[in-house]
Amino acid sequence: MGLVAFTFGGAPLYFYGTAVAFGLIVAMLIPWWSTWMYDEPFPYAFDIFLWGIPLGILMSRLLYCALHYERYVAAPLSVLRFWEGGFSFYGAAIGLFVALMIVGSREDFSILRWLDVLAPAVTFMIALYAFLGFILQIVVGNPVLMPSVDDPSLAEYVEYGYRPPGFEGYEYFQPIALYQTILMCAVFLLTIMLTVPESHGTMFENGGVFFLSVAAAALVRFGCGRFYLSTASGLHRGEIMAAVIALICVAMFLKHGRRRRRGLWK
Amino acid sequence: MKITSPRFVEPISAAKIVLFLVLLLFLPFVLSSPSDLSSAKGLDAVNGPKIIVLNYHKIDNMNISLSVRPDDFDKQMKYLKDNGFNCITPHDLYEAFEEGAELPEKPFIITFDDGYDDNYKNAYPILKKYGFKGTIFVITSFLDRGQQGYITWGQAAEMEASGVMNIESHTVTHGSMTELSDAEIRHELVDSKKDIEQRLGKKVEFVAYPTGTYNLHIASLVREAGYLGAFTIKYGNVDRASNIYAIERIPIFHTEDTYSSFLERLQYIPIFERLGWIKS
Repeated sequence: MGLVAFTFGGAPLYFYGTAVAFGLIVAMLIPWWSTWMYDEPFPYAFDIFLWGIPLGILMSRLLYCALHYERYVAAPLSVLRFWEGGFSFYGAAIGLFVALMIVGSREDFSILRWLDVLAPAVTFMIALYAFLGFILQIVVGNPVLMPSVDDPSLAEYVEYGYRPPGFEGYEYFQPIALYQTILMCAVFLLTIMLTVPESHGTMFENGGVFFLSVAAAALVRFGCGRFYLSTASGLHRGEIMAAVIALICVAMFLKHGRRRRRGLWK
Repeated sequence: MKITSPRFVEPISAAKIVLFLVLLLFLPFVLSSPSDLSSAKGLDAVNGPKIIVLNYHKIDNMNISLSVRPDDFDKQMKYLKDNGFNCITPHDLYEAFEEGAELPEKPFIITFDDGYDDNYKNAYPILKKYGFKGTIFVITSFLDRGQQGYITWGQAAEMEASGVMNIESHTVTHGSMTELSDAEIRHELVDSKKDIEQRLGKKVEFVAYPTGTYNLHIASLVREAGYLGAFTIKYGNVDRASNIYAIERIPIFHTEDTYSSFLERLQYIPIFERLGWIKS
């Protein structure tokens, strides 16, 4: 296995970037549907993606480098060496949110409503990210000791060169990233199901679908994170961030997204 | 109260679409991995050259999946010859990855498991025709001992002496080594190696795991028995990230369109490799 999918003129094209590019094409089709459901203009979604791609790459790289500053403080210019890897999904989400704010302030639309419009695309990208963690074997569970052919449980074979440091003697690991992918796909389907009635304005206030969906995704990440392979005890940074995001989204849903009692302005 | 956006919006311009496509084309070059590659073991951006190890069994007209027709085999070898693939041996692979020797462009290895007599009758002449070398992993108790359909020691010696075929071990009885005790495994590995070395006067360096079953303990016994490497039936390319005692191979089967299947397997190895990861 290698990280390079193809080469073009000697330059490597990476699996990860290729998959993200294809994912963005699919993710762009989803707002085509959701803007139609919400009766909103698709060109705004296109503009958000157009701003979101460069901002997402930039913010994901900066956040990754900030979270791992000890690696970059000695050689700051290595921050620019994107091809050496190191991108934070949370940074990409921040980039997308900034893009939404830019387009929203220019076009003067409701940010909360557009969070709902983009919610299916966002949860799709979250599920894709989980899938890439499985395919690239970046996320594995605990090692499985010499599984027998009679054992019905799943186990993931990790190539020798990609085994986590200290675990080179183990071939099979629990496929926690696969389970996470399945759960994230369920969150994506839940978002689609919520979008259908919500686009007719029947369930929540603006932002309700988005906050609920992202809270569900964050809880999945937190729960699955407990089973990631790790030699350290306690909560890890990714779990803490997922828990914080879940709490924030639940709080925002309760403050903004929950359907209030019908008042005179209705 | 819900706020909806204004009705009139300018359509998406062609320039924006082009910019979007350019950004998408940029991503595969930039996004290498979510985690930092420079500090991770084995995660070189490119793990050096990839070696394709083709795995055959029978080359005849039996019309079973393990039996590639001679004309299909000839077509596959012609494709490899015409498209600049360079045939190497398992020893060349070992020297490249363990001793840093250089490899030619587009290296590949041809292997045959079990030592069927059609390897001598059909595969051997075709390999000679294209100037390729192959490796046959023989089950030593099957040769010249009443088992129909397998090469003889005489044929093995002839092919070995010609330089076209290299004879290596597929153990004594082809038993699955995960079902055997350590003593039985040592017998399978050591005695098959000794038998081939005595009869053919050559050093045996590689083994192919029967039925592809192995584990790291068995791999350690293979190393202890004096082998330089071992082949599995795990699907994939071989590169520096591979374990020399668990070398991946590409199985080639007879199908409804054998040649197309062969081309697909060659071209989409990285994708099929990932699909083979899950063990259930």
